[in-house]
Amino acid sequence: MKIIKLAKGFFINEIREFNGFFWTFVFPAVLYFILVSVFSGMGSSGISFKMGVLADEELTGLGSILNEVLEQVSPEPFNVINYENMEQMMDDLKFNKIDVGVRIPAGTSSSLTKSIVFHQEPAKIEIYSVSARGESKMALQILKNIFEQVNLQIGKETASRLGNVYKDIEVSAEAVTPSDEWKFSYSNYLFPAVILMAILSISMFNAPIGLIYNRVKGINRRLYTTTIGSFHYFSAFFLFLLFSALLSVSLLYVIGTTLFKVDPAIMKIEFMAKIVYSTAVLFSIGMMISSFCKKYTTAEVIGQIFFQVFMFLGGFYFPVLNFDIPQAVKWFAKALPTTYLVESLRASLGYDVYSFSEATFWTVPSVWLGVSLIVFIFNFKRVMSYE
Amino acid sequence: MEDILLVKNLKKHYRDVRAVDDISFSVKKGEITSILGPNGAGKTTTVEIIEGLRKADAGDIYLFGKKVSHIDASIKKSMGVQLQTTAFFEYLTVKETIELFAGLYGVTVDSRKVIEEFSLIDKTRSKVKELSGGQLQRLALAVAVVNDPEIIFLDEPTTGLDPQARRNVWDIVLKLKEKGKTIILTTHYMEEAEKLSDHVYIMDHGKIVASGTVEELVKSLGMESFVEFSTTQSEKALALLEGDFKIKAVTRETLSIPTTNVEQTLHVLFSKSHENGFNVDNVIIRRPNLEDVFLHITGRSLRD
Repeated sequence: MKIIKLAKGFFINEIREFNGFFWTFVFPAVLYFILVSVFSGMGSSGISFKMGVLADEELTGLGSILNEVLEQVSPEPFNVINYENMEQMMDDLKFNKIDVGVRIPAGTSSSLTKSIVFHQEPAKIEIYSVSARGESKMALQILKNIFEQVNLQIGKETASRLGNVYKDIEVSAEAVTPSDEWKFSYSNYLFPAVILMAILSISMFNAPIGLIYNRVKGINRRLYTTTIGSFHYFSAFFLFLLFSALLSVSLLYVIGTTLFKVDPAIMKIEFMAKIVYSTAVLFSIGMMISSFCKKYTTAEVIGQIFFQVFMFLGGFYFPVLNFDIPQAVKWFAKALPTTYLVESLRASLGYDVYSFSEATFWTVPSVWLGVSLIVFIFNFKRVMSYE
Repeated sequence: MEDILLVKNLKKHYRDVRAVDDISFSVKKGEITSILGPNGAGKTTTVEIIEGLRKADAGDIYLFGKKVSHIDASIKKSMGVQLQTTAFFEYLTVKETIELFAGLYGVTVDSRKVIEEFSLIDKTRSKVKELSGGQLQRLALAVAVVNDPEIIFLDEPTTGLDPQARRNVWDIVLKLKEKGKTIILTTHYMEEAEKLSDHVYIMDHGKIVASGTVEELVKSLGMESFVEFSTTQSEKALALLEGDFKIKAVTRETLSIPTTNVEQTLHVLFSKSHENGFNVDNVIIRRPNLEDVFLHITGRSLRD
């Protein structure tokens, strides 16, 4: 009960202050609006890439499924431009006239039939992109994703055409959005990032600045003359942060589902569990920062650095690791917990752009979580300014 | 009357500074005990050790008749504390602050009654950040008693307040005493200690240099009165009167003569001024006070 009362005190004190209210609740929502507006235009959920297609043969039989797929992804997220020769398509790709090029080699129809009916080697489709261009890389990732879903779709359709039950695919297909409904949506792509940004803001600013402010201003000392102990204090503080994060995230959920029609997969337990895990990781880092700062102005600066680095190098808004950046920066980005946290959330929506294993999603952030907590516990007394 | 608090040989040092240097004292139940001393005397360190905010290097503390090695929640339940620096959540209202602190002690209070008692009724819904210094101190006092404690620690409760606000705080402290509360007050205001205290401990450089009731301490000076006057020729007057009295300069133009015979002192003073031609203005005859006691013991003023 004491914990809840103190947490309530922390919370009311925070939200009545303009800064606290704005950065915790208003800013993430505003940022979501701005980003979606800038990148995909308010009111429309998709963006469009220019895709060159060169078919070396006319697709027939089961190969015509590919034609259906190409029709379905056009005009969003891909505006399809057909080519007659490879040289022209490659020139256009190099000169930025198209974002990605797809070549369907001769024999694809028969390869596809063999692979589906006789379970032989899969048909090979060539995709060309420009590694130095972000849009090109993003288009490549999206296209790869689409073709993975096409595999499932082909499985389903083949099974129905042959009158069989394509069991393996059928099970997987339930979790995947059918290809005829799939559209690249920047609001979907952004949703995990904005959620994490809201939690990051609370973790990097509210947590360390709050703790240090309370210490410097003597609020901690005043509280400690009552019957509460450090356990009560930190539990209440954690609860306050958690509640703030919950409200902020809930607000984004409402905006995401009502205004931007974000994928319903955000309602799944898996996605929510990942948010909770991300919260634990980021809170622990915020607590660690607080244990190193004597002034809240210092915490503000350090929090700001962590916030920006975690957000931008963590790939919240762009797939940084796919860009042509120095190797050292790439490794640095790979060491950040947010790189994996945001990717993991995106993976739940089918919007992952890197090829991380499920284990990697958890390992790196867990290391941060563990180290941060250990450092914080060792520096605990500094935070409390206590003898 | 029984001792509610007994402190024996308490020591605390910070690097080379002996903040609290082997002090012992006791506090009787239902009394107001003041620890008087200049800034840096060790008053706050002493009470904060007893409150459990600092650890002593050595010494024993007996609270409610029992020796305590650690000030835990069960002891804190019976303590009320008002720290030297008042710090609350700035955006909580007066009512919310009182209710929050009551909740932290695990008690429920009629917040309106408490607010009325501490004359904050028109500030009930005001945020802490909107309160004046006096109002904030009254809130700090209200919070200090929200758990109905047996013993209340007030650390310089009137520092920085205007005279009216200071008197309001004194009234509240005296009311608390009337309710049977034991109060330990630290202050560097001589008038405050004189007005409120049943017993005074004078501290300087971490040591208790004198103790007793205000009356006892004043009597220990061995003089009844001070004759103070101002003159524009203070150096001349000082030189002429030094042979007759233990005269001291209080300010550049004010001199003070301790005496046990006021009539004779005044006679000598006016005779010498008439004979030697220095002016005597604003003559005041006053009783000795704790400031004089402190000056007598340490050779310094409380305000130094």
